[in-house]
Amino acid sequence: MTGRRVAARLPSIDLLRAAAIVLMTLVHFVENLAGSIDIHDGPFIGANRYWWMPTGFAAPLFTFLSGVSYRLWADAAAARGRDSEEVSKITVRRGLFLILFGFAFNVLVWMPEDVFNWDVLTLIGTAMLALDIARRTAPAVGLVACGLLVGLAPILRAVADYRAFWTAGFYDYDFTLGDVLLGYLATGYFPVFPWLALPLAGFLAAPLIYGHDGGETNRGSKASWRESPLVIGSLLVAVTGIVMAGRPFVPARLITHDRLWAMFPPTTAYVLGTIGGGILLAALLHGTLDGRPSGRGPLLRIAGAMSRHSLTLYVLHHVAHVWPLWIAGLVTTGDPDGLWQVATPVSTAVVWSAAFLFFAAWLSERLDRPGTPSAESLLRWLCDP
Amino acid sequence: MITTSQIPSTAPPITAEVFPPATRFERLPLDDGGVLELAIMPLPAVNAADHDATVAELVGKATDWASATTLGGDPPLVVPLYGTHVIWSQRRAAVIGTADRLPAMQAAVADFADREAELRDIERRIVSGLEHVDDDAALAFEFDEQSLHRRRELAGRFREAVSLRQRLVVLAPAIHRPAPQPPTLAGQLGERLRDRTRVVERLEHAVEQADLLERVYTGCGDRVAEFVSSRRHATLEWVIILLLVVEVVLLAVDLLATHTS
Repeated sequence: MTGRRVAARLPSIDLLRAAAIVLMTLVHFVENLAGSIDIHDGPFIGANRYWWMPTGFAAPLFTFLSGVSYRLWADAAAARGRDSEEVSKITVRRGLFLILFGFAFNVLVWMPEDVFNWDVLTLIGTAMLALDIARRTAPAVGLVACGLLVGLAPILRAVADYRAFWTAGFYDYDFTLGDVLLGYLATGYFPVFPWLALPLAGFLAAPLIYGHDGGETNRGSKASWRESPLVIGSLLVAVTGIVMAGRPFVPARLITHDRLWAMFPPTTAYVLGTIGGGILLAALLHGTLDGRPSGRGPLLRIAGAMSRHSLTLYVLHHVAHVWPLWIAGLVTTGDPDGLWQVATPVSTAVVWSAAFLFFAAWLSERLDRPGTPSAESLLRWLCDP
Repeated sequence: MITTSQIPSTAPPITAEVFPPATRFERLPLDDGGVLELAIMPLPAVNAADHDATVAELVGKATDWASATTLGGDPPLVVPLYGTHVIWSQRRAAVIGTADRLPAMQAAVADFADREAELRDIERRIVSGLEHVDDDAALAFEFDEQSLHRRRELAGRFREAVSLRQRLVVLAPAIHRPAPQPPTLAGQLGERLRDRTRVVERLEHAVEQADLLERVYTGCGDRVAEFVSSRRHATLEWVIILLLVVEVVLLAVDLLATHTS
């Protein structure tokens, strides 16, 4: 293999991204529509039910895969002889587009006062800009950056007084430069520290998982066990356990969450565990799915379509449940937030999320038709040469 | 005197059993790991009138026998010399002559076969090496991150190129060695075989091709070393930059948090 290849979609990545979309839809529908119903000891399902923990993988998986996909795309572009400057331009445009799109999304979905809540779109936009630098530097630099992002996050949260920005499980900031910048760096929903480590980890792990030929399989290569994604993923999961066990020795000031495994704020164990889990899942699925000679079945076909339109589905799944929630709250209680987390029982929210997913599967395949407008087509129209 | 063009081309394929009973067969191991089968055929005692016909028949049979290993390739060479004949192909050869001349002929053929086999093996390796030159030549000019995983592969090809050059350097004096003076049958036979198989010209071409390979992969090696060295420095610089950024972030967060509170 000479590294020359045609960029082809990998079913394993599509399936993982579709799984992240399913988990994301489920967690948002259930927590936003029914998060406070039948919960006696806290407002969030995620913080009170261990069986709900897998839903916490949605955002990490999504961000991890953004790094993986970027690496495969950039490597394929380089292999096709595309100029590095051109790749940079596309990357920076896409990053800026996602950041602006994220702000617009925050205003339209979460109301204008939440424009700087630093949601996942602004994180992925920032990640695009960072990955363009990572692309030009040695992997060791990315690795050091990952370590700094994960290791410094608790310190930054302690310095910034993370708890002061969060009330009743929600990020609450003032419209001041200080709060906005602190939110971006450490205290928002998806701050750079430590969330940027996930796309960066995906970017660094992609060649180990999919080979330097980008998915043509790395079987038969002489990579040592140190470069095995299964070993690295397992080590990260093991380190997660050690970090959890070492919690009693961590200074109290650095602990910003009562639980060992939490998403807001992302505990060190959570970040390491989701990175390790992401690497393991991607490597295992790559080994089982991508080498199959038979074509895609209906499940993989739908997963592929959903994966291709993940940005559109991200926006739509929020619009589909948050806008009705605001409108119904305004109509019935006079306050748009009136029905927040108490709109329906959990079972009804699950049914609604399932209904949305069926709609999403149907819609995704139709969005593949040429000329059909979507968030992805807008991104390509604006950012690609 | 019988030449290649005079060999009856319609002769049916023959097996070794049809050679005269006095024929001996030897298997000579060659430098390239192969084996040369050598048929040593003393001329039977015949009257002068039948001599040419007998020789022509033996040469024809030997040629067919030698042809069996060169299917689709060049026909065996027939080298007549002072009433003797050598039939030569890459894996089979036959010497035909009077019994007193056969040992010298056998030694000459064995000596030549070794060198020719070595040259042929080098040529084969060069051809397979040249197949990669188109892809690799760009890396002799510029090396980048995307090509880093090919370092070992390029190093292997560089080693192979140096090995080929070394073998050619060893082989050249043996091929250019002058024939003994005064001329002997073995010496003359070696010269004839060398001329007919164009060993000298092939050696020159092989040297040029091996030079090309060596130049390309020396260039690749230089570019790889330069790239790895500059990459190491750049990595260190980037790590320092990252640490400075982190320091700035820590200071900024501290200041912002103080200001906010």
